[in-house]
Amino acid sequence: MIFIRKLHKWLTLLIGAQLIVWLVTGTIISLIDQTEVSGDKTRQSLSNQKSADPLRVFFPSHQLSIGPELIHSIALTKILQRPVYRIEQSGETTLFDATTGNELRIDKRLAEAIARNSYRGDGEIANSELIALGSDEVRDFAGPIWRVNIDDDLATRVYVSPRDGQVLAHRNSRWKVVDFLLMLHFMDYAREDSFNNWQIIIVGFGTLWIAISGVLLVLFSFGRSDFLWLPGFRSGGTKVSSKVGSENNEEQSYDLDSTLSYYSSLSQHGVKLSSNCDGSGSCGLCKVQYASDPPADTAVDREWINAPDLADGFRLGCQHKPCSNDVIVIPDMAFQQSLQSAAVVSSQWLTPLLKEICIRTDTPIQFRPGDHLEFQIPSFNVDIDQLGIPSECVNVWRELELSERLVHTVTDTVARTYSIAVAPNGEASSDLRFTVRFAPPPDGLDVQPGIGSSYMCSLQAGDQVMFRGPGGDFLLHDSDREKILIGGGAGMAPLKSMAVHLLSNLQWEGKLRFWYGARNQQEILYRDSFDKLAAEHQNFEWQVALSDAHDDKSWTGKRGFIHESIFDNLLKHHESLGNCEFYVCGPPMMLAATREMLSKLGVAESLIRFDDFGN
Amino acid sequence: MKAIRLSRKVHKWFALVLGIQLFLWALSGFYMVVVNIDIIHGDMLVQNMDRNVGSYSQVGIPLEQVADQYPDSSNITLTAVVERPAYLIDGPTTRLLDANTGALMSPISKDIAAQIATYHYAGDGVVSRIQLLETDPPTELQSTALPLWRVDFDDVWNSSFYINPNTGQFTTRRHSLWRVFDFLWMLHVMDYDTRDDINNNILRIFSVFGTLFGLSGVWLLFYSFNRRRKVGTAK
Repeated sequence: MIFIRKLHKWLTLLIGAQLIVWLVTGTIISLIDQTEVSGDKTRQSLSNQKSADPLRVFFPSHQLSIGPELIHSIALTKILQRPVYRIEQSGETTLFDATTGNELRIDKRLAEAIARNSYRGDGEIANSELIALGSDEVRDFAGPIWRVNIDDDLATRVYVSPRDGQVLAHRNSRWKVVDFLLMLHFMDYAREDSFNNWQIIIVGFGTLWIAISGVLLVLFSFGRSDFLWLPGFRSGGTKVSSKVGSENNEEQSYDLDSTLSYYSSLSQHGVKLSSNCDGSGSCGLCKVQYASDPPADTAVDREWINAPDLADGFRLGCQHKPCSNDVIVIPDMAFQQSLQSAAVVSSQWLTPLLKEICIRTDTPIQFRPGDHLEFQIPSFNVDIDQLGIPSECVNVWRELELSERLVHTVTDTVARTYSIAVAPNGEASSDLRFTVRFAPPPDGLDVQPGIGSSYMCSLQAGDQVMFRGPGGDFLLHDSDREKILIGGGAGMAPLKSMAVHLLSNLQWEGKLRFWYGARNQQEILYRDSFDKLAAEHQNFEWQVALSDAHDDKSWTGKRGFIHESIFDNLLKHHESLGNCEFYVCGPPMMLAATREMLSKLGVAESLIRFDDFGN
Repeated sequence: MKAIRLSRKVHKWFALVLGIQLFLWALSGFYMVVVNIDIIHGDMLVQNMDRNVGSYSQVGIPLEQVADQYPDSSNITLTAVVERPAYLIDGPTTRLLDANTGALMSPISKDIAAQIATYHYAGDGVVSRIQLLETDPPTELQSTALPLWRVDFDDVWNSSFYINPNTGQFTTRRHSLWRVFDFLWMLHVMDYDTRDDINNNILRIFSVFGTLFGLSGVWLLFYSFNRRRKVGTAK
């Protein structure tokens, strides 16, 4: 699709000007009355020009002085009232007066009379001239030509052949305009009266591809959502009955729209599966579990759900439509109708683009390490200058070339999930932290910065936020296996919660490693607290690899991408890989690379848990 | 940022409504420019198109005798039908006369029509069907008066030659590429009836909205290539 859009866009950039020329000239030509253009409106039809007198001949035809050239035809005809012989030979036509036998020349008087006879408008002959070089208004006739001008509104001119007195054409000012438009329409700049020239063939070929790609784009860029304004369309789908429940909500029958996905059809009933991508299949959050007979998994399912879970009937809610008698289990959180509220206690930039937000919930909540909250994103309109960006980071922001304000207007309920970056504290806690990386538009793409991160980064102490949750499936196994946490960027949050929980809350004694990837020293989150944890706990290993710090002489640690670093320095030589479990969280590229690396190592999928960056 | 969304939406909905016609314009236009018009006209299918009446002094009956015989004629032309001189007489009725014997040739028979067609035919097929069309002209003869002999050849072009029975003249020819051209032309000018009215209202409406659509594309194109405007965060 991206290729088709690119093709469409670039071809149009290349030849779009001609497309507009075609459309504009075509439109004007169709709007101008053709009978005016052709002159037919004021042209006498041939049958009305004929005189009723019989063809009377006084001069014998065999005495005509006919040249030796090949004869195509000899005709006895009339010019105006006068009988004439017309002899067509290769290359020329000769007229003889049939009364006298003299060669007949089409002189000015005769040419004007012929023109007058061919014209039936309300104008009169103004003047006439013999154009020696021919006229560019009658391009297929070479040589001298009579032009008889008539003083009507359209400045009609009648062209008469001096060779045989034939009326060659009626032209007028309308014709002139259309002739010019046709030249542009046919790209016939050389005036060959042809639309088979090479330039139009090339542009026409390009246009064909614009048209083909355009048709494909139309086919793909319309969805159901485009037609919801049609009466009856909103509720129009066929209903099927599915049973839906969760751990703490008993199964209940829902009449769901079978033309929509589970994600969309459940949402019509107020049951909201989490999603950061509004059901487009790019966040992997809206997992549902089929109790039996799950549908065939899609490529998107396989991207976000590992094989053992797929076998257990897990699928993405945005990828499958309800079928009768489905029984599915969804997360508790989806049933949460009421929102909870919290106050922002503080917010500060930890790196140029990453902000830590601390909130205090109105009522304490119970959560597990790795859990997330789902924040409601309200309308906002914030000046970038009000984000509290430290002066040393302003340059980084300037390079993003953003608009001056971050703006979002709520049209539909939008929510985004963020992992809790602190460990649970006893039974329930109310002080929570989140690490949110501001998401600028990808390079070259003309879209807004992420609305979730824009909103979160705009929060300041005292602001009120609304949320649902906690929830999530990025959880620690209850096992004695060695735990290896691999994180990148803001993917720190759930891993921090896990590490601190294991070490400080549980006093866990198994081996725990946390390998963290950042671009440079500035971007190592919570460096001091992890250094301290590592010093206090013999069983905890804390490693950082920097991917973008070639010039940084002060860094003595590891360099390179985190998945390469941990492979080279740890996993390649690890003696009991089968007894390790992995927890991976980071930006999409890092996540994909790490999962591929682990898969190549042969680590069982059931021992790898992962969470997308920012969830 | 609002405008780009709107431009995309406008362009997309225009395309949904006008898309098929725009595609047909591109497709029919491409066919018309890429297949040379001489091929469409069937120039490769014909020969002997230069008539030759030979020497006038050897023609049995002179022009003025024909004029005397048919005093109501408006136009008498000595021409050649398959290399034989013949008089073509225009008047209240159109006639064809053998110029050597004075015998009336028109209306010409099926066999003569086939002879004339074959004489002018330059392809490698043979005559497969001959029929006289008197009423209900086929679509490919919209602007031509009947009656006409239709002589079909069994070549790859599906050529049909049309001979006028009253004049013996080779009136016109049609073949597959011509027929495709004519059909695409109909789609191009949206005159599904006579195929020659380029002032019809359907075409006018579609071309006006097509132009607006094109302009919405330019508008969108502007956004698609225009990078975000640089606005500093520090004043």
